Amino acid sequence: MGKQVAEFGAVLSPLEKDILKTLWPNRRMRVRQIYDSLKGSRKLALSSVAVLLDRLHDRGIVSRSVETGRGGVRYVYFPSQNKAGFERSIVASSVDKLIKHFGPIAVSYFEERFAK
Amino acid sequence: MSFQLVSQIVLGLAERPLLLLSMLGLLGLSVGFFIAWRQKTKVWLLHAHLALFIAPFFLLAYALNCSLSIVQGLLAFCATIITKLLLVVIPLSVVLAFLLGYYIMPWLVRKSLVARQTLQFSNILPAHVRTWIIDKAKPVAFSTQNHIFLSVGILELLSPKQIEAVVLHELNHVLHKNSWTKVSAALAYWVSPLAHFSTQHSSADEHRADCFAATTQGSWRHVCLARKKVQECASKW
Repeated sequence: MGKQVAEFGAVLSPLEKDILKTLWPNRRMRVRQIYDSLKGSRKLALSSVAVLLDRLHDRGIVSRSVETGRGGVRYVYFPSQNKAGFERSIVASSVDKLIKHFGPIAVSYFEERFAK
Repeated sequence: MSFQLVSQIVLGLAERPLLLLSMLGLLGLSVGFFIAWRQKTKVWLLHAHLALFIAPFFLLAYALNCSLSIVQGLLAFCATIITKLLLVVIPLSVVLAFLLGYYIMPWLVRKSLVARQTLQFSNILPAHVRTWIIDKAKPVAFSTQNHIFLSVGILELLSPKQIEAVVLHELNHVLHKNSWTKVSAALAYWVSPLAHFSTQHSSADEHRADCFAATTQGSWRHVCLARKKVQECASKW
């Protein structure tokens, strides 16, 4: 469970994981730049990278800005948080869900667990 | 109860042959305008068809004047004011829909989008046509009135020549006022049963716009590749 959270397998798909690892700790990159850095290690399409970045943006995991350059108007993506911050947010979200669903049972379990 | 209502309406019409003839005449004209629209592709013909299709029902309601007892029973309140309201409300709605679709909605779309006018198409676009970029990752392009909208996503996905093909495609829609036709056709689809036979209109408009782009660029390659890329990408969203 701990390893899974650390590897984000339960939260992110393998390609999303690779995209975030490309952007961390705080790189600003265009879609094509991310695609170019990943295409060597796996078979993928530019559109797939664009879709996943948009989904990560909708989930608040990455942010983006519109920039105008010589090639025209493009999105530049950057992580909303560093890796540690992202891990923390996953843990917080998971704990909140457990408490919401199981209420006092979850709270008492956490108290017993961390008292040991 | 519905059979009784229908039979009362039929009997009422049989007693008023002039009313029946007027209604049939209006419906016939409506069919004529629909056929003319399919051939001439003028949007005013479509609106004439819609107006003449709805008109007989207004005429019937006004003539009946809620005099049918069963209608009074159903509505609990039935007076000439209802038919007058219907005669005013529906035409007013049509006018408002025109204003909404032709002026207000495009204005709202421009105001709500992160828009910046691009100048790189000034060599292929007439002066009165403006290009706007919208803050959207999904590759989309559309036009309203004299405005062409391109998403950031489509600018990232396509090459410069393919983007030019898309702009030329949308320019053709602007020049032929297809966006207004599309809105009108969608309205007709909901109101008129005959409009269900008109789906080939939009396909013909799209093909003509593709032809225009290909002819202007001297090649079908860019417009075909652009369409293929956008369709493949859009399906993933």
